[in-house]
Amino acid sequence: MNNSITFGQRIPMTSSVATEPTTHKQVTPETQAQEQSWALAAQKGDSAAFLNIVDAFQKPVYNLCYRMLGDPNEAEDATQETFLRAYTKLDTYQPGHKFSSWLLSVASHYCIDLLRKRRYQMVSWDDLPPWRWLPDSGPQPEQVALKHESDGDLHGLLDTLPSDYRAAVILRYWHEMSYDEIAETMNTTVSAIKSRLFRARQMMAESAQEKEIEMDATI
Amino acid sequence: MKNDKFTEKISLWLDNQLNPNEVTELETHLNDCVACRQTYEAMQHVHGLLRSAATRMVAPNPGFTQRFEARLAHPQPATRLWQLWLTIGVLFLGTFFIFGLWLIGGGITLVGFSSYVLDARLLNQWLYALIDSMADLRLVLDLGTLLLKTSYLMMGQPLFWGGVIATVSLIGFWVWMMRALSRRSPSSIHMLI
Repeated sequence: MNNSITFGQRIPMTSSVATEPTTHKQVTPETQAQEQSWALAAQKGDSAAFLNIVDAFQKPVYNLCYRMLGDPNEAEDATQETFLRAYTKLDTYQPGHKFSSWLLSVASHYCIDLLRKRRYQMVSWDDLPPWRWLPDSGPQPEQVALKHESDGDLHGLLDTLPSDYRAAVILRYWHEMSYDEIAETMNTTVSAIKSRLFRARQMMAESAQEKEIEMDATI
Repeated sequence: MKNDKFTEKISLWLDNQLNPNEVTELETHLNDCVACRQTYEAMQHVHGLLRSAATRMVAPNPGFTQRFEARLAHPQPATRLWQLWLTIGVLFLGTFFIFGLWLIGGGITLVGFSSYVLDARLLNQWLYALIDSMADLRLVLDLGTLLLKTSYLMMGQPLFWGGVIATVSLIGFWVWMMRALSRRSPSSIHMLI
């Protein structure tokens, strides 16, 4: 029996990203220095500098919140709450560390807390008010895109994960963080991150296989 | 155990965390082990899905910074304090509603009314008596016994349970409405105004 297989199809982490880069992934020393100067100015009470931070980081923070929570309205609220918390906790940021990691740490911890609370709620309060489903001023292109994406497999797969595993996956794939950076962001060890990513992939793979079996059974 | 060791390495391999010797060892194992190969293929499929999705970042609706500025100008704690006071107010009104009904009824609507049961008029007399002679411990004990008996009887009163249900419903609805209002997207607040 020939069991040999070709491993050329493996998709490495670093190859295809460059063809479709996203804004936050192009972190240069200049932008990092800019972040630091904004953060230091904001720590001294310069609210305009903090608004520059909000402008620069709203997309990565919102992206993290949306991938964690799976709902655009909740993601908007969580993003605002993240920046509010960052604003009130600015004195805990230590200059010299990457500001984006610190900010994403605030966001991921907040989302993990939200998901843990949600787990114990029999009925979600936020799903009940009918006006939450009404559009603000017509569907935004971004929301149309999100709706389209949510129809795919991705959200179903992420939903199968515990909140801390989900955060590790999002930081790894969407924010292209190294194991060290994820560990720093999530206040844990590198070995814990390795374990979470392994378990997360294992759980998502099992879930994907179950879905395929279900789909085969219905055909 | 051997398989666990290799499946963990598959995850590291997907993240380019293995050295060439470890990659060779893993590839050799995958050629021989059907179970690990299936795990590898399933993980690779998920890895591909995530890689594909991760090429696109999602962004908030335009005007996020302005909405955040507006929220910064009206901090959330003030709203929470306002909600707290309103909830306390509803709790107070609910309690007043239940006992008000009972007091207005003077206890005469109680089912199975007897001399052993405290009614509103008796309560009034006992309270005055209690104030007049605070030193009389027996009086306090008697009053306690009567209160216990009344509480027991109240459990069988339709009016009592009606009041409880009405109060709980009112409080529940109020808390729900406050939470819903406070958690809505700032961009859509104008819809309520």
